[in-house]
Amino acid sequence: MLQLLYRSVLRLHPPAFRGRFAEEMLAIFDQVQGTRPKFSLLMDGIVSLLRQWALRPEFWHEISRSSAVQPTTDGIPTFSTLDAFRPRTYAVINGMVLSVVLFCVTGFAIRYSWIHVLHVHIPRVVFEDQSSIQPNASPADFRGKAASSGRTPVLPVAPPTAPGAMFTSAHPPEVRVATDGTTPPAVDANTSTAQIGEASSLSTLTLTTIPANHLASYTGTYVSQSPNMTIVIAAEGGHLMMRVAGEPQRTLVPVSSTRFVVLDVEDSWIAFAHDSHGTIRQLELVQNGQSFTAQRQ
Amino acid sequence: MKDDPSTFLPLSPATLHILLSLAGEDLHGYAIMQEVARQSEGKYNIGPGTLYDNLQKLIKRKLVEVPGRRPGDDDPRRRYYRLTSLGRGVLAAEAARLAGVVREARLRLRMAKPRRA
Repeated sequence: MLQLLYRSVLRLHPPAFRGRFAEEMLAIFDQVQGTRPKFSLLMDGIVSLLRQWALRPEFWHEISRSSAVQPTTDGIPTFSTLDAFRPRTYAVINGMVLSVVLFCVTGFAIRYSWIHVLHVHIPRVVFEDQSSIQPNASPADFRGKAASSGRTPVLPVAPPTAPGAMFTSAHPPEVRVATDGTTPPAVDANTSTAQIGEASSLSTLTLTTIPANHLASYTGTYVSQSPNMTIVIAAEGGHLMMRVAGEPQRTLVPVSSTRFVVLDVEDSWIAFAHDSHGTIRQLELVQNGQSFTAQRQ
Repeated sequence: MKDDPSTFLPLSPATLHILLSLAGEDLHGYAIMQEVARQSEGKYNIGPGTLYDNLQKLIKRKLVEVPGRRPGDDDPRRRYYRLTSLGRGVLAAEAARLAGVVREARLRLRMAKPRRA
């Protein structure tokens, strides 16, 4: 009975102490004769138990070399560390705090960049006055005029994603033209105005007009190889119309001499490109964030 | 600096007796307990809990080492302990310190002896 109690007391000792000394303590207990000396050993064991847990924390996890190394029985090598590694408590706390801080900073940076990408400020673009446009002017004339005046060209021919371009993100903002129906706004000698951008940023964009006799320079058949698609640009009623096989005819609203918004289609616009002689050679159709380039036939 | 025996002083009574027991030969735990009782003429006894708690600290401080078990021993569970050279130096330093304490005590007691008129 006493031996069972003593064995239980030994089993409750810290693993390192138990692995190293329990067998010897039990051997001593077995060697001692008499109930009273055994009872004294039992009391000594209880005091030792309290001492080891309360006053010897440095030995709690110390690995006994004799108990840590397990012999190989099936030929498969086993590996174990002879050093008892235990990270310091304050090092663990520091690591936790740093991890939380790093996580918060990263999350804030992602949120900050996400918000500022969506809310791109679109500057007000002012186009040339209609009166200064010659009736037979081509897109190249617009550039030449701006260059000769020593000012920055106000009708950019750069790709849409270039700095200063009309749309600075891959998804142009919705264009809401101040008109009803599917017909484009009536274009007179003056310019008309459309609001562009999200409701939160009511940046205004001044629409330009293309003379009716100049629209012919855009018309024609444009063919895209990838994907295989034919786009027909025609002039009807003083406006450019776009026809794609399988889709209804769309009206193009000019926002510059080379850029047209596709009416009634969200996030869709066309950019024409011309050669050095000012002749339109290809167009780029952007629709739902996808871009298609078609060569003029 | 850690191997300087004076850094381990003063020793607790249990540690002193354990080192003193191992000064003669390698002993197992039960023999150390018996040797401590013999040295103190039965006035100081240590139990296994105290013994192995001190041995644990002495092994970590490299004052005592464990050469291993002896094949011919009666009980294979017994493990023998040996005093290291550092442990022997610590024991010598403690003995010298205690000798100085005893000398000082005798001197003071002699001076305090009442004189007869």
